[in-house]
Amino acid sequence: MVPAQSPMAILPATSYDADLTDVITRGLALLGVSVTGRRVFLKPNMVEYESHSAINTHPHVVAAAAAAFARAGAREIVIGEGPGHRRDIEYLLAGTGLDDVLREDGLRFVDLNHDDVRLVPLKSRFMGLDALWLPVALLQSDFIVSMPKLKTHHLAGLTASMKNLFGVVPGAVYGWPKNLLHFKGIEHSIVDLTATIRPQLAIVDGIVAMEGDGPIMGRPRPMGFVAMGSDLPAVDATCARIIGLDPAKVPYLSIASRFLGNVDDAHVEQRGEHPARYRTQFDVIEAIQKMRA
Amino acid sequence: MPALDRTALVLRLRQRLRAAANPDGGWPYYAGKASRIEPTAWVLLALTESSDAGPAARGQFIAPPLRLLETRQRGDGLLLDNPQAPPNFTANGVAACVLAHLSDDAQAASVLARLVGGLVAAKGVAIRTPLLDAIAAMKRLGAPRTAPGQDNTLQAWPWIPDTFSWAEPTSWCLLALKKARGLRTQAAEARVGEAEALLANRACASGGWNYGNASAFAQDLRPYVPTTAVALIALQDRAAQPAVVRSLAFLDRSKLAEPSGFALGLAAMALSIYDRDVTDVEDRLAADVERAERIGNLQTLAVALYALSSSRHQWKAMRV
Repeated sequence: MVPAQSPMAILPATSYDADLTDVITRGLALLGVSVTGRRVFLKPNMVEYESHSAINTHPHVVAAAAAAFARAGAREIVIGEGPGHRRDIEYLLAGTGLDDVLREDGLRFVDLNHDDVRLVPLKSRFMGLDALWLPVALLQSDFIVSMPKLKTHHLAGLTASMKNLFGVVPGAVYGWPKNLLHFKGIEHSIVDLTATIRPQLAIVDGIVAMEGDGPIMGRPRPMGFVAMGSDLPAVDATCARIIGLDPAKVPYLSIASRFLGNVDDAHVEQRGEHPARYRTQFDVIEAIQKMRA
Repeated sequence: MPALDRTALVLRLRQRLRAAANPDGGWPYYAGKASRIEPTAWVLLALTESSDAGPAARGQFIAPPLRLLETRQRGDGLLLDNPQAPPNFTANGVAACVLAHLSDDAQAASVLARLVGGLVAAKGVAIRTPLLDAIAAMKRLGAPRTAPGQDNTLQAWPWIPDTFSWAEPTSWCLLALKKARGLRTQAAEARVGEAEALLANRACASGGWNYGNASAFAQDLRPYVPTTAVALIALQDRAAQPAVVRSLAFLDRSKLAEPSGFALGLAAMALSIYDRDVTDVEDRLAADVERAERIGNLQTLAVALYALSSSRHQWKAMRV
């Protein structure tokens, strides 16, 4: 059921040294999010590691979200990711600096690629599959937060809160890269995963985004914001507009708009900064020029 | 690291792995979880090869994990983590390599014989795109030709059935067929040839392999240490092939670039098999293994243990 209006919040954050806990806490207040007594699962984007790149959700954003949810009364906070290209979680945790954050803040991390799994019926069937194996740690949570890095994506158009869910699909079942999802149509996979997992919130790291040949080979692009919202298609559509894409031309958003959430700007209520403040034109590769606004 | 410390480290890793065994005889990726094929195979290998146990004690030790593998074997010979889940060909390839090494044991030999049949019968899908290929060929006309394009019609091993072939499952299944030489049929020979061709075709321009795409959207992609190491182990009898020479050079210069138990352990294996000195890799592994212990992936700890006890086994399980 698509709501009549979907609130979201864009909050300025000029660098990773800013007080990001305060930024996210303000976002939760603007959106009226309550997590008291809930088991919160944070799903950052950590797919590859290259120094001086902007591939992954910055560890400071992850740490800040964990602190903000703890402050908001969450019963438990678990961070989990199943990187899509690499299975060597130790290398990625150490390289990205997330390992330092986990240790310093005493946070629990689950390697979703190698967790126990359960077969879960899909709530939409665009892929033509009835069910997917998903990690138990994710399924045991009752408040899932998709925390992507905002990036161009050479197949999907952009990586935001919905594409980020590829990382919950366990590599030890489906392999690296998560080829089944590409085989079944990337837009279909994104929609089926979102419809089935239904994260309660998105927190997008748009402080330094990626343009060009994303999601791996692109260039960092400072943007200076964090985007938050409970309607994932609305958050992604707003991010698409900010980077110069037309959500109606982004296939996964076009499908999602039919039943998952609001994509039309008129149905998205901006409670933070207005997105026009950040609107720009990201460089994109030829394959996604057709998705430009 | 002094020899005494290395011995203590090996003992510590052995104790950690033994303590994490499940009652069903297998090992999970992380302690307390369900047993899976791949970590069971790695831990079985690491604990067997790092031990001084005599034949009787060895037989007693390997029986429960072998029983677990046998119970997970379905009619076509492939091993399953779960009866409803698709077979994972990397896990099956690793298990076949370990079983081939232990095949003086009747149970290991029996599971292996059926498993090899399953591996030979399994193939990744071919992707044929004649129109796109023709356009790409036309674009290349007149341009300097640095390397042939990716041949998506080659079929080796995918991660799971009905998907594309990738570097890691192909390497492990290829190594398994090479090790199970006595079980090789004409069909198996053909699979070996096509798998070698696929690995050569998917090597990165700079040498080495990532998950299995040399390029995407006209950009050369970067290789990874672990997949490069595994592919080099699988191609150890093709040392003069240009892709192998290029990739060995990449691993030589990048062996310490990915400091994790998994990457360093596999790099030590591959480079040793190509007669390189790996003292620096093993030292780095020993120095960094505490982080791997803290993260707790048992497969990584088994790879590290196998690498750090190489003076006992000389990597025999990985040689063809």
